[in-house]
Amino acid sequence: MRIVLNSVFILCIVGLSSSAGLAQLRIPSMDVSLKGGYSLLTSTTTDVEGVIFSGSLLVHINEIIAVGPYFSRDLEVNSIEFTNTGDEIKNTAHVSVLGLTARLSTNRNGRVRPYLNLIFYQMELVNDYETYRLAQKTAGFAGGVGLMIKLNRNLYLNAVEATVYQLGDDIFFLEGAKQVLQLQTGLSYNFGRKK
Amino acid sequence: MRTSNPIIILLLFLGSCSIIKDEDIQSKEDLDAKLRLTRVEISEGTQAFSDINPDGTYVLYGRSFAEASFNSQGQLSALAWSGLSASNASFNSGSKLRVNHKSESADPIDPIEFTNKIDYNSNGYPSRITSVTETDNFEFESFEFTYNSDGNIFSIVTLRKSKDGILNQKTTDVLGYVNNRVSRVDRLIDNLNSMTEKSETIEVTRSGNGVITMIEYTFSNGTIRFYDQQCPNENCFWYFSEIEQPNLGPFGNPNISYNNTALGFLPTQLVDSRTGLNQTFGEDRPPDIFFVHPLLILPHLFKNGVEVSQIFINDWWLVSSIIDPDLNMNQDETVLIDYTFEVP
Repeated sequence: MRIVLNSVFILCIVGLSSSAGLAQLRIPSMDVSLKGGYSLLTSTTTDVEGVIFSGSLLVHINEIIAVGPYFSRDLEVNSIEFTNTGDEIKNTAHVSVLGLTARLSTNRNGRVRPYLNLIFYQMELVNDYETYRLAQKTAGFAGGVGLMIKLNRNLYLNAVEATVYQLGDDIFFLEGAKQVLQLQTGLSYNFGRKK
Repeated sequence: MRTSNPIIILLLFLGSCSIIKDEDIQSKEDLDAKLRLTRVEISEGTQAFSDINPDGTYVLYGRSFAEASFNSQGQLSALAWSGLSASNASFNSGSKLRVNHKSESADPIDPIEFTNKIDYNSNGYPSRITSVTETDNFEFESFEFTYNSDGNIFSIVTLRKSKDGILNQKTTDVLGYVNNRVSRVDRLIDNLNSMTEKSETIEVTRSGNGVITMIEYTFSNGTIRFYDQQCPNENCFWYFSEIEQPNLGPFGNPNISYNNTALGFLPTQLVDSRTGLNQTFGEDRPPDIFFVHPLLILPHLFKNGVEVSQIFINDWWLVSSIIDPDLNMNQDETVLIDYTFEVP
């Protein structure tokens, strides 16, 4: 699955590079987004939570559907391990997501545009115990909902976006972990020929 | 479009960078190979592990620690214990866990500062584990292990003695296997003082998928103690103890969680249950006692050690059978054996 995802991602880069080269001829409508927010993963004994940021570049197929690459990375994420005495042990954690997103939104006429996201992702999780680090990759699907508010002709405020990642594998150092929840807010800039 | 290009390139660059380094531990197998036990901690108190919380519902009676040391091959070579109780346990005394043999006549080892020393066979499994007091270097217990060609334990020879000489006993266990799983144990107990011997057997009953459902001890006087597995699956160990026939108690409930997690073993939880279902004689039965036995404390040193530990449950769990109407034990008590691991 990882190889397929990487291949698709490379194809996207090639495609986008080509479109940049042809920029003067015909630029498709695209949204470039930057967001930040909160990420939470719970397991039997450990929670991984903290602040993340994300970016995406969505090419409009039409006014409703847009597709493109997506990523999110940790800004400050910790793993919090609960001991049998009720104490908490905090360590640094890292979360990275790379994926392809399909976004379904209402048309651009309204000032408020709700949307749905479907993401095919590859996630990397790292738990850093200072002297050693535990790491694992997993891939799967995520789904999310959000709300965009039009600020001007090109700029949108992503007022809120909630995404749930269904983990495709058991994480060997996070027993019982099934999903990752991310809550984000940010800005999207639209450019190119409108569809 | 030109102003957007740097943003796009930055997004693609950030998104394509991996946060995983080559030296990271990326699988459970890799982690298991690198994890090293550094400390064992035993705590005793009321309630179950899951109920411990800051509001005081968990009363901690006491804690004991063992610091680990290693040989030149990086194998665990010793556990140095301090603070364990050895004398007879009494309710609320915080002494549910003991060292030494079950024999009440033997002198307790006191003060309990002793070391488990571990030697290894060429196959990487322990060949000998001894318990030696710190103060006078008295070896009061030793376990010698031999193995079959599959690496399974073939025999265990246990020597136990007390300083006063009352206890001087040799126990020889020979394990029988069917399809590479323990099916029975033949035990010979030699009293080295009186030069008498007696034989006992342990028979293991399994479900169709091979999971233990019952462990049956037949003692030399013909008494049978059954240990019924209450949740027969590979990740659940929860036994009732019954003598001669079901529902004739006394019952106990060592809910044993040996699950191997990414950070080593989860705490082993041993519950002296008084509030669960079918707790016959619940309030009138004296406290259960648990013994520091290598198969209980260090099952991960052996092939199929978790399962073998269950089969020898009678060696480390003493279910009291004397009825005392004045005891009024009306709440569960728990012994937790917790492990700390590190990656050197």
